[in-house]
Amino acid sequence: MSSPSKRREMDLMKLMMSDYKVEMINDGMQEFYVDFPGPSDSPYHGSVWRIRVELPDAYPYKSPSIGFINKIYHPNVDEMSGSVCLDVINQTWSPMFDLVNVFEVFLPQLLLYPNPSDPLNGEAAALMMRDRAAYEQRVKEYCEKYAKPEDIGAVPEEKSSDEELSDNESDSSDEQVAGKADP
Amino acid sequence: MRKAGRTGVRQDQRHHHSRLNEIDENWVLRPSVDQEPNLIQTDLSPPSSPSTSSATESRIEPITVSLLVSNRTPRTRQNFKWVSKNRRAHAVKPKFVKRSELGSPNNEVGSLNSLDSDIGSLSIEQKVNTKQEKGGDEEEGEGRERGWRETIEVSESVEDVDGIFSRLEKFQLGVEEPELSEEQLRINDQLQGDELLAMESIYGDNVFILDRHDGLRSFQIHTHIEAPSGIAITAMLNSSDELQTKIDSSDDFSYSFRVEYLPPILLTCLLPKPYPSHLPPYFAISVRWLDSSKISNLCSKLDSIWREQLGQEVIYQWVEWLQSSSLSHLGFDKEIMLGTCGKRLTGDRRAVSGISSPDVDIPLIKSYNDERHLENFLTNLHECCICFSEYAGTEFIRLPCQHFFCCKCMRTYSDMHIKEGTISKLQCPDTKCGGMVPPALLKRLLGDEEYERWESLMLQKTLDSMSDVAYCPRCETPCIEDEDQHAQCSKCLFSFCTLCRERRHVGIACMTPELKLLILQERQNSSQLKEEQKHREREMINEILSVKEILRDAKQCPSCKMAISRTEGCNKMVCDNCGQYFCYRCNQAIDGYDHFRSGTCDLFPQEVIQEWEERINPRQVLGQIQAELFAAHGQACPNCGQFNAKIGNNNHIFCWACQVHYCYLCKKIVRRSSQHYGPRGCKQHTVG
Repeated sequence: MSSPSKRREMDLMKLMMSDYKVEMINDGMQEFYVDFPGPSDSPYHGSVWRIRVELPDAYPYKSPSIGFINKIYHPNVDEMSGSVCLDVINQTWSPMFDLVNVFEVFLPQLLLYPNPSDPLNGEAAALMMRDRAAYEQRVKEYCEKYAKPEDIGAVPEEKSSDEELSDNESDSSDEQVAGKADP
Repeated sequence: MRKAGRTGVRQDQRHHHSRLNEIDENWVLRPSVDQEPNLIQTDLSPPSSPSTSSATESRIEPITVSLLVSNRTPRTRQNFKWVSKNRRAHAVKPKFVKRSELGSPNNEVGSLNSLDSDIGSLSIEQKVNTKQEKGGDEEEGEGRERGWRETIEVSESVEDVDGIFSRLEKFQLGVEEPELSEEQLRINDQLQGDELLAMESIYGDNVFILDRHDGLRSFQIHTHIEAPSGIAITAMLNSSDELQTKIDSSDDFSYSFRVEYLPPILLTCLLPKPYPSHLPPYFAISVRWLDSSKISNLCSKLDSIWREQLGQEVIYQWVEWLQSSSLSHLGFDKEIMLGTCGKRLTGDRRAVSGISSPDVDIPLIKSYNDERHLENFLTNLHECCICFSEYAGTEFIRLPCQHFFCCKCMRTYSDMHIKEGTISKLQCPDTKCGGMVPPALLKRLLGDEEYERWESLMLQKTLDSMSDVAYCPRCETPCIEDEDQHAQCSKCLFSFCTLCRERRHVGIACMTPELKLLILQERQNSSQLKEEQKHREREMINEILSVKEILRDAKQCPSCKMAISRTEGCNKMVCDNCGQYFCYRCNQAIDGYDHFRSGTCDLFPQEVIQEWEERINPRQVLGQIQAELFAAHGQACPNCGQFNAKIGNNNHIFCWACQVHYCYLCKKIVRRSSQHYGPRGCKQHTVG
C-alpha cells in the first residue's frame, strides 16, 4: 500500500533523528536493528541491547514485533529467542503510536515494570516475585555477560556463549571414549 | 388636528421631528437644485401650485410622509410599486380631505405644497382618509401607527433583504434629490457602474447585487470580521430591559466566550442617480450582534467618511472601514459587549439590529463560528496523523471526541478490528483518548456484512458480560436466569435447568453426563426413533464424549469453569475467558506466586524442568542418563560437587554441570589429560 509506506518512512526517519542507531536489514523497510540502552533507575542501566524490529504489513494498525538479539534476563522476554511477549505490546497499541514511542516509552516501561502475569521467562518472573534482590543481581549478571556496550558490534545472532570453555576438550574426551577399547 | 387619534399621531410626528433633527446634523440633505416639489413627491403634488416651500424645515417632513405612506404596505418590493401607484391616486384625495377636515384655505394651499410642514398632516389625513376609505378599519390604522414606531424598536430580521431594501427606498422617498443634467447623470452612471464592478472584483462572493428598481443600482456587501486569535464576547445576563451602557455592579452575571469568526456586517446600499456627484448612497447597516445605538454610531461614521470626500465614490472606503476599524471605533477590539435589545432606543433608522436576547444571540453567534470553522476545515488540506498523507478536509472523519482521521485510515482500522474480533479495542485511535466510535459512523465505514458482524460481536460481548444469561437449548435465544438454576425462554417458552440444559426438574438433581451418555447410546439403537431425532441425539452423544475427553486432560477454571489444558510453561495458569489465576495442580484460584512458595504445589512440574534443561544443556541430560546407567561408579566433581558417573572404564570424567574434567581415581581436576594420565600418573582406563 502506498500511504502506509509514507508512514513507515516517517517513523523510521523520526527514529533516526532522535539519536538511535538504526541499521536496516534489507531495503524493504520491514525489519531493522536498533541499539537500545537500558533505562536508568533500573538494574538494566548501563547496558546496550541490539533490538530487532519487524513492522508487519498492517503497520501501523498492528503493533511491531520486538526481539532482543543479545540476551536479556526479563520476565517478558524469552531468553532463548529474545522475543518480547507480543500481547503486552498489542494490548496498549494504537495506530498513533510510532517507533520513537516504542523506544522512548514502551520498552523502558517494560524493563522498569515487568508484567509478571504473562511471563515468557517463567523463571525470571518467579524469581522477581520471590526475591527481588536476587532477581536484580541476576539481571546485572546477564547485563555484564551479554549486554556490554562493546558487545553489540560483535554479537552474532542467537549464539549463546555458555559452551565456549568446553568445546575443544570435550571433543577429545569423547573420541577417547569411543576409540579405545577397554583394557 | 382636533381629533384624538390624529393628535396622538401628531405627537409622534413631532417626536419624530426632533429625532430627525438630531440625525439631520449628520445626514445632510442636499437642497434641491431647483425647488420644485417633484421627484418623489411628484405624485402627491397637484400640477399647478408653485412651491413656496420653506426649504429647511419642510424637507424633514417628507421622510415622515414616506414612512407613513409606505407603512401601509407589506415589505415587498412588488407591493412598493403598488404603493407608488396609489400615491398617484391619493393625489386626488387631498383636496377632498382638506375641505372636509381642515377647512382653512391657507392650509389647503400650504398643504398642497409638498414641502410644507403641513404635508405631514396631509399625509396623516391621507392615511386616515384611506383608512376611512377602506371602511375605517381601526385596527389597520393603529397597526400602521404602531408599525411605524416598530420599525425602530423591535429587532428585525437582519437577513431580510427585501425589508432593508424597502427601507432604503423609504429613505429615498424622503430625500429631495437634485435634478441633474444629462451629462452629469451619465457621468454618475458610469462611475457607479465602475465602482460596482470594482466592488465585485475585490469582494467577490460577498457582494450581492439586488434587482434594479427604477433603474437604480442596489447591492448588499457582507463584511466579515475575523479575529484569528479569537475575540471575546461577553453578554451581561440581567433581567433589566434597559440598555446598560456600562458594567454596573459585580453582582451581575455575565457569560463570556471566544470566537474566531463573527457573523458579517451587512451594508445594503441603494445608489441614487445623484451619486456620487451630489448625494451619498442610501444605506442601511445590519448587524446581528450589535444593538441599534452601536450601529447608529457606525452609520454616523459612514456619514462622516462621505463628508470628508464629497463627490467621490465612497463605498470602498465604507467597507474597508467597517472591516478594519469598526470594532475598535466602538471600543470592542478586545472584547465585544453584547448589548440588549432595548425597547426605547433612539436609533438611526439605517441601523438594523439583530439582537434579541442572550439565549438567542449567543447560540447564534456560536453556531456561526462553528460553521465557519467547519467550512474552513473542509476546504483546507490537513494531514492525517496516522498515515501522514494530506487530504482536503472533506476526506476526514471527526469523532465525537473531536479527534479526526482520514477516511481511509478509519476504514482500515475498523476493518482490522472487526476481522480480528477485537471490537473492544475499536475506539478512538488517539493514544490517550479511548473515545467511543458511534455505531452510525461504523455503519458508514464498514460494509453491510462487516457491520452485521460488529453488531453480533457487540451483542455477544454484552451478553457474555452478563452472568445471568443462559441460552435456550431449543431455540438458542438468550434468556435471563432466575434463581435456582432455572430459566424460561421467552420465545419458545421452554422452561429449562441452566446446569444441565434439560427440562426443568424441580427437586431432582441433574442427570449425570455418564448416565445421560448411556441413555442416549441406548436410544440410538431404538427403532422407534425418528431420523431427525436420532441425528440430534447423535450430536449430543458426540458432545458429551468430547467434553469427557477434554475433562480428562484439562482442568476447569475455578471461577468460570472454562476447560483449560496446559501445553507448556508453569503451573500458574491464567484463564483466558475471565482472567482468573489458578493453580493447575490443585485447581484453586490463586493470586501471584505465593501459592507455590508454600509447600504443596510446584511451580514447574518435573517434566517441564527436564525439558528446559534439555534445551539449555544437552550434556546435562546425557550426564543424567549416564549417571543412571552407571550409578555404581561415579564421583562428585571437585569443582562444583555434581555427581557424575564413570562411563565404562574411562576414569576421565567430564562434569556436565560445570564443564570441567576430573579424574575418577584421584578426584582432582585434570587440565591436560595427556599429562595426567600416563605411565607415571593415574591410569585412564580401569575397571570399577
